[in-house]
Amino acid sequence: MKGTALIHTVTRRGLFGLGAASIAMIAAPAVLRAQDITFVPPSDAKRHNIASFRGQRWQDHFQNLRKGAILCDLESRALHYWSEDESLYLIHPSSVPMSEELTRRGYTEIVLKRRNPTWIPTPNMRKRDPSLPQSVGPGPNNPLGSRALNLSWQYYRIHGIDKVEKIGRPASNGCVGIYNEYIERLFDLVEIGTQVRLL
Amino acid sequence: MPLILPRIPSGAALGLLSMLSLAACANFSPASPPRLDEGGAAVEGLYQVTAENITQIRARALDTLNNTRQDSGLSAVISDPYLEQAANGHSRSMSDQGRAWNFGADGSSPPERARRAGFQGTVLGELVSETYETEVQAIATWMGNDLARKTLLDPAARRIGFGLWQDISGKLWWTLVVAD
Repeated sequence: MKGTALIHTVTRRGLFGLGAASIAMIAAPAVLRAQDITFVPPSDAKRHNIASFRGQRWQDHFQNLRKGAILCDLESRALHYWSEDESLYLIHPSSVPMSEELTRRGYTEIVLKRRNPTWIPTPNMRKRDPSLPQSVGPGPNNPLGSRALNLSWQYYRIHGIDKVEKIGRPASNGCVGIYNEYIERLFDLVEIGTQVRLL
Repeated sequence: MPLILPRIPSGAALGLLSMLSLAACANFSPASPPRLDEGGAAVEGLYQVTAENITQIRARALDTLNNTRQDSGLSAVISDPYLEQAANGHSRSMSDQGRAWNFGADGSSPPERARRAGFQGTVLGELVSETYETEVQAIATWMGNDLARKTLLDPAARRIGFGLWQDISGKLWWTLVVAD
């Protein structure tokens, strides 16, 4: 996650520098300084940042919409929700697992809804990073954000977020995070047994 | 048709305008069409989008996509004005957000933006790129990505919207919306 953000920043500066360096040096040094431009030739820099989104139909993933259905498209980094009567279809950007190793795909369901959850690192998280706190209570620093939806798979959740930069990026240990305002709405829409597929 | 103008940050407009005219003399002529090599790359300097060449750019993007689809035995797509409007708006939004991704600053998704623009069909996918590459290179870059290629070569695709926004630095924000 940190790596992604860093590359992004460097690239933006580098590319901007390419475009503006020769132009702006003469005319507007004040603007240049304000932008903090570093000149990076394009051959040495990443040439593009791309992203893609795939449209989804619930019929391709679920037999029915009983209790509603959530599709987490980990490739497009988007969460789709269809209500049981199909009157509501929501699409939200999400965080996705940081690595393939941490990624679990398949069918599951919501087994528990938690308001203002307490975060407790899993044994594996603690193994990877022994400096993690024992737990984090509700509040802005809680990695689960303001709501958590526990899935039938142990430790896997759909939840809110502490840092907005995680949204749309590989930033989780296996969970799917969406903005707090969206998880709060989704929390009220889903029920125990709402179908979930991680794709 | 929406006109693409250089983006002038507030408070720096005069300085930047003089920069632009200097650059036009020194490095490239904004009024002339971009010269491309066989690979579709800009031959020299910045790839500059202007009111004069934007029609060619859109036509070349459509041709490139259709040639690519034809090579895979797929039907051609046509440009849809509603999707084009949605794509243009998203290119501008990505520039404002400083981020190449498929969501708007208001949280909007590609299907939502298409519907808001007046499009009635189903959005199959959306591809974006933040780059100095030309439209031809951008499509080649997408073809090289497994997920993006699924959208470019979607057998159900019939209509597209190709959008762009160019920052004053010359950086381009391409958006391609693909629908049935």
